[in-house]
Amino acid sequence: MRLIAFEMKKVVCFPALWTFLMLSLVLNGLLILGNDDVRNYFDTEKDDSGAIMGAPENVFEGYDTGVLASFYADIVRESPTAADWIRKKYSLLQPRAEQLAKSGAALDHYAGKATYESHQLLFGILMRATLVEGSICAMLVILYLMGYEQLNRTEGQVCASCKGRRLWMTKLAAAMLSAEALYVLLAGMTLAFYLGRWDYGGIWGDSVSSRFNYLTDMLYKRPFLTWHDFTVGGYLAASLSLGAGLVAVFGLLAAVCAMLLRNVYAAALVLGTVLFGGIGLGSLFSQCRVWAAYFVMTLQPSAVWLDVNVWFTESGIAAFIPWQETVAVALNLAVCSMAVCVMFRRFMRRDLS
Amino acid sequence: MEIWKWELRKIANPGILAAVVLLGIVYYYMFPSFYVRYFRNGPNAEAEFALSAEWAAKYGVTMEPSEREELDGQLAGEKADFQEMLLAIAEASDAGITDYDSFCVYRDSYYDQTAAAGSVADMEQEWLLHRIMDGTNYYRVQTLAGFMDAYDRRAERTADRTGTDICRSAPDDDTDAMRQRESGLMQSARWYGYLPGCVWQSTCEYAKDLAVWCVLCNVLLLSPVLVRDRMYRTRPMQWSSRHGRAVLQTQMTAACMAALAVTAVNLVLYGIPFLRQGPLVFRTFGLESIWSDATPWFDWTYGTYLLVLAALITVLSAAAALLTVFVSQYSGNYIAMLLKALPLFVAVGAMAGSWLLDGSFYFRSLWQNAPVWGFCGMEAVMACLLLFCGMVLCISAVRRQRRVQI
Repeated sequence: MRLIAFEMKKVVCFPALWTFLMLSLVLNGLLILGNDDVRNYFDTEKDDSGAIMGAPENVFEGYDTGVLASFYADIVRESPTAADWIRKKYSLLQPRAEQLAKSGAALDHYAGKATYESHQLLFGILMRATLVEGSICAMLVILYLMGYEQLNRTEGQVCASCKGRRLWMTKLAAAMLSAEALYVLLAGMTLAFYLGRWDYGGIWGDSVSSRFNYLTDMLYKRPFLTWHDFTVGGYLAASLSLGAGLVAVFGLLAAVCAMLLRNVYAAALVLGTVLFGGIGLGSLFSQCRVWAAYFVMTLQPSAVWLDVNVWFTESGIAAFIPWQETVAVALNLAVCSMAVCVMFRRFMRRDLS
Repeated sequence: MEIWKWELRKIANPGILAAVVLLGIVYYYMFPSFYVRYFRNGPNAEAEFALSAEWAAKYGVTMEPSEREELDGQLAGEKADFQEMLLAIAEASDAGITDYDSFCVYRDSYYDQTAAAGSVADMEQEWLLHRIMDGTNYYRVQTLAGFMDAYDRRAERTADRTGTDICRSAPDDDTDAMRQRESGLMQSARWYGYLPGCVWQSTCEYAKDLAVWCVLCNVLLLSPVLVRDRMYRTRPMQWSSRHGRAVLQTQMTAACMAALAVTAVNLVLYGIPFLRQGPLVFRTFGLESIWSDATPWFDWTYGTYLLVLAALITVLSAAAALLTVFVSQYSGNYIAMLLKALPLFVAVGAMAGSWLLDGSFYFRSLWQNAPVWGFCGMEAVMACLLLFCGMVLCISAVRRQRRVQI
């Protein structure tokens, strides 16, 4: 425990990190302030539930997910496997649509006509920015701690013994704890500023599947179909929790790179290239219409991050199984943890001279 | 000279270069390649480009009012071709579509019905519409008719000497300089230029992506150089001699030269696929165009505009390089440098680079929907200011270092 505390102290006493955090908060603040016109509209529409004329429409009543299945199966028709996956996913979605119809989720007002813009601002733009800043912090903190001994020329002494080499696991634990704490700090402060300006009072209990909320994918507009009944508050909590898991995935990836490559700058470059290249590869597969491979690529962490605004929904072409973002994060955590264990065992026996 | 060459060799680290090349390939595929593959984005843009290229050979870089009259004959000819091509589509005559005008009536009636029915499309009519649009020279006729209409409206404005660009919704906010510029343009032959809008738009978007990439390239390449020296504690050794004291100046010069070289390579690599799309057909065309509502500040040709954009990107890259080198000497390790390099890239590349190249040297507001218009040459001033900041910071760092006690 003491060693973890000492390692975390190195992170706390790293001034460049706090400067980066501050700049990230400034950027998030600018993103929030840059959408003030939407906020004025949000404030007007939020309390307008009494002014709606006529009966609200339950968009889920009689909703047939087979239409979506046919639409996407036609897009991926070159790959029968991918088409089967898509049809299976939407067949599993039909009971959810019926459940949402029964519960009357669509009848909730949420933010009226300002629902879509406000939802995309919070869960699309802000969440995406916070996640990328948190992930960058996590990756760099891990690279920093793992490369610390080499930077300070104490690596030879520390790694001369087995106990010293096991310090790298302590470093990893300290780095992961620090990364999650930084993510919580970043998300907390961003949300505090956001909710200080945007009055969400009275709508936390509304369903995110309100009739005013929708998704558009490949120019096809559809209701906000989630795999579970989420209120606005519940959806935010779930997104933040999954975000913490995703930050952990990026951190573990950085740990793998750090133990593989002795040079932290090279490790950062390789990490950046792999993450960015992964997105490019997914895009290439979709351009070449190799759909099965494309769907596998949607499981990578950078793809999960890109689709943050459609988490816990059917996600259109970005997912081929239910709860894909959750499954992807769990799978990546498992794979990266195993990779870290393998790399650590290799590190224990490695000649560092 | 020898120290300078060694510093360049330190910058050209093979591992970093390889990573940058890989990243560059992925970046090019994901972003700028779109504006090459879809240089003429859509059938209307294709028609616009084709018509302008044909007129370039016939009418030159501008279209005089007397030449405009010839377009009436051309439109009649295109409509006759449309009618002929329509004969090959049996379903058209079944729907009562016999020529271009009856097709337009059919099309407008369908769109009105669809809008009234809550945007629910009739797939059979949609199929017929697109069968006719794709199977005839419909887009060519439509684009030509649109151009003639825009020309006539422009001629009316010139005759009245009133009004401003229709894209500016609050002309009372125009500055005096903008009114003066537009008034000057109205009196010149350039007022009737016809540089295709798709060429200008693709150029701007491509240049934006190139600027962002050049900045990223330089930041990644130059970040570790001075940090490595500080980590390996080479300064005390260097400072023990008179030549060594000036090493920071040599390093900064080498960094600047490396950035310029990398930018030149990027300009060539990006320029080749872009120029293969044929924009140089319009290299002598003025920037003012009937196809587009944007108003340029300067009387440049399109070819000159390309060179100016390349210069702007070069200045921005040099500024990014100097700022990176300045920041890197205050970083004790690679991670500290990366934590500074990332915000530097976001500020100089993603934000400043995108903003500078977004419709450069045209009338535009300071940011989207801003109530304030930019001034003439604002982009060049901002880029030079950035470069000046970088140079001042680097020069002050060099001077400070010469006085520092070891």
